[in-house]
Amino acid sequence: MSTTVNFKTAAIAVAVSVACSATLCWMMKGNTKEIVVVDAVKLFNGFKMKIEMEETAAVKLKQMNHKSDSLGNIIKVLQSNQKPIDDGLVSEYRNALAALEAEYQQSNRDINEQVWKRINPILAEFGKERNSGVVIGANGMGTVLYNDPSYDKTEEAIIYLNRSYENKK
Amino acid sequence: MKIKNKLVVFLLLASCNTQLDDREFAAYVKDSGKGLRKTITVDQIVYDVQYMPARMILVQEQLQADEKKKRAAQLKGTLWFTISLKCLHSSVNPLKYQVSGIEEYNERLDYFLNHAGKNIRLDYGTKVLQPISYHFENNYGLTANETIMVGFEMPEEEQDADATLVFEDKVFKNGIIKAFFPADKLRKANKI
Repeated sequence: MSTTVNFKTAAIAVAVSVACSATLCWMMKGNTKEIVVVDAVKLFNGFKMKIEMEETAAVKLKQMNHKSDSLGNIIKVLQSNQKPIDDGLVSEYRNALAALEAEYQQSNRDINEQVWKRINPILAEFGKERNSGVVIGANGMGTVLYNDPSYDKTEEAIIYLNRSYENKK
Repeated sequence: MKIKNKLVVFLLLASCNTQLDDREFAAYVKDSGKGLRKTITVDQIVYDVQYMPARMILVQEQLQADEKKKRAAQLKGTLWFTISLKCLHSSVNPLKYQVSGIEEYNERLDYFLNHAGKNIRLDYGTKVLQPISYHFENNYGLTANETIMVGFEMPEEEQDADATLVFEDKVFKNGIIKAFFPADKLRKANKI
C-alpha cells in the first residue's frame, strides 16, 4: 500500500518538475533576443540608393573634370610651344579645379548624410522584425573586435535594405 | 435543379461584372491596400505617391459627358501620378517646416514650382520616362500638404509593365524616393 503511494508521489513529483522545466525553457526561449552584427561599410556600399546617387553625382563631376582637363591641356600646349599664357586662363583653370574639388566634397557629404538618414530607420525595422535585441554595426574601427560568423547578418540586412528602398516589400 | 444551377451561374457572373460608381472607384484607387497608393516616410517628411488612372482624373475634373470623351482621348496612352508631401508629426506646411526665413521659403517654392520635375522620372518596364507634364499646386503655404501632379507618355511598344516613380527631393535631402506599382494593379485600375 505504502509502496503504491510512494510510487504515485514520485510520479507526480517527476511530472511537476518536467512541466516546470519545460515552462522555464519556453519562457527563457521567448525572452532570449538574438544579437546581430552587420558590417556597416558593406551595408553602406551595398545600398542601391548610394550607388544610384553616386552615379548621378558622377555625371556632374565628369563634366566639371572635362572642363578643367581642357583648360589644363590648353595651358600645357602653350607651355610646350613657349607661348605666353594669359593670366585669365590660369585663373580660370585654378577656379575650375577648385570648383571640382568643392563639388566632390559636397556630393560626398550629401550622399553620406542622405544614405545614413535612410539606412538607420530601415535597419531598426530589420532588427524589430527579426526580434533582435541588438543590431551592432561593425565598421572595422575596432568597435567589434570579434564575432562568430553566425552572428553576421550583413547580407540579409543588405537585401532587406534594398527591398525596402525599392518599395517592393 | 437545372434552373437553380443556371441562376447561380448567372448571379456569379453578374457579381463579377459589377461596376464601381465614381465614388466607389475613387475610394478603391485611394485605398493603399489596392497597391495604387504608396506612402514613404523619410525623416520628418511623408511622401504619398498616388497612381491616377484616367477615370480618376475624369472623376475629379467633374466634366460634362461630351467634354469627358474629349478628355479621355487626351489622357489615352499616358500615366499620371500625384506626389503629396506633408510633415510627419506636424500640421505645418512642408515648405515652412524648419525654414530659416522668407528667402529659404522662396527657394523651396521655386524648386517645387520650376525645378522638381527634372528630379522625377518613371521607370516603366525597361524604359526610363521623363515627365511630359509637371504641375505643382501652389497652396501658398496654407495647407498641411503640398501636391505635385506629374504625367508620362507610355511607350507604344510597352503598354503593360511595372512602374516605379522615382523622385530625388533636393529640398529635404531625403535621398531617392521610390514608389513601386505592379503591372497587374495598374491594369486592373485601368479596366474598372
